[in-house]
Amino acid sequence: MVINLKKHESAYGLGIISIFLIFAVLFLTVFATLAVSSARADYRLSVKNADYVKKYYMATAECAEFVQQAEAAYSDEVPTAVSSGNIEGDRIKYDMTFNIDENSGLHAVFYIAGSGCEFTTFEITTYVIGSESTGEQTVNVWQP
Amino acid sequence: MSDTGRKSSLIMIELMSAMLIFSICCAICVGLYVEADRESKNSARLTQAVFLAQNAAELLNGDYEKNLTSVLNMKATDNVYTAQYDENWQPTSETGHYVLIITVDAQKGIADILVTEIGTEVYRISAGIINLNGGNV
Repeated sequence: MVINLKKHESAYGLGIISIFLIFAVLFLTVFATLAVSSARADYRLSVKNADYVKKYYMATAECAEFVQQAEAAYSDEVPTAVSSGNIEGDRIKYDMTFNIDENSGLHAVFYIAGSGCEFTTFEITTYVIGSESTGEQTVNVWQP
Repeated sequence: MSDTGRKSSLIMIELMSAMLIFSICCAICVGLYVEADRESKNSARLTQAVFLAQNAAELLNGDYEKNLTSVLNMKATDNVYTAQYDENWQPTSETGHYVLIITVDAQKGIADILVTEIGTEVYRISAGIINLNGGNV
């Protein structure tokens, strides 16, 4: 009986460890980079949204201040309009746009009368700048 | 040195250098994951603060005093309304991690809405107090 004492050698040669290492490092780096870029994009979007919300409510604050001024200027005996108001009988109509940013504005139409203020339009107007024509798109924030 | 011995020492050197490179890369990647986690938490915090401030700003339309106290359970002191929130943005009666503070200026028709985290400002807006169904304030 002959016993084979020949030493058994590994099927994988020198360098298999380096190949595993390259793949492991590659996967780790790719996923870490993706996680960071995704989180940063998410944060940038949050900041952008926060800025727009801040600008929108700043426009509503301007509108509210204007309404206060218009109501203060109004009197039942002699109706007077503040800047762009139009006197229509015993009430004054205001058609105002308060800028939110360079691409949109808050469009408000309201009447000031002895009974108070009545809004007919309160919407966001977006200025669409196309290659051929410039138009407007509106989003109703509130409908009477 | 025999051929087998030389091969073993080469594998050992390769293994050790691989472990070293892997450790360095792991340390860098852990740093990147920590950075991603921090950015993600900042983003979530800002989004929640914006949501809360926006919600409060919308409640200013109409009878704001009633809206703020009944819907957001805010406590009123003169013209300042406050509400406390815990770490998970849930309302709490105790001193909260996050605080919503609304300062109303009825004469000007505007309100200052501030969200803080342990005294530090997270988000702040100025909003108009407009009653769309009948004037403002």
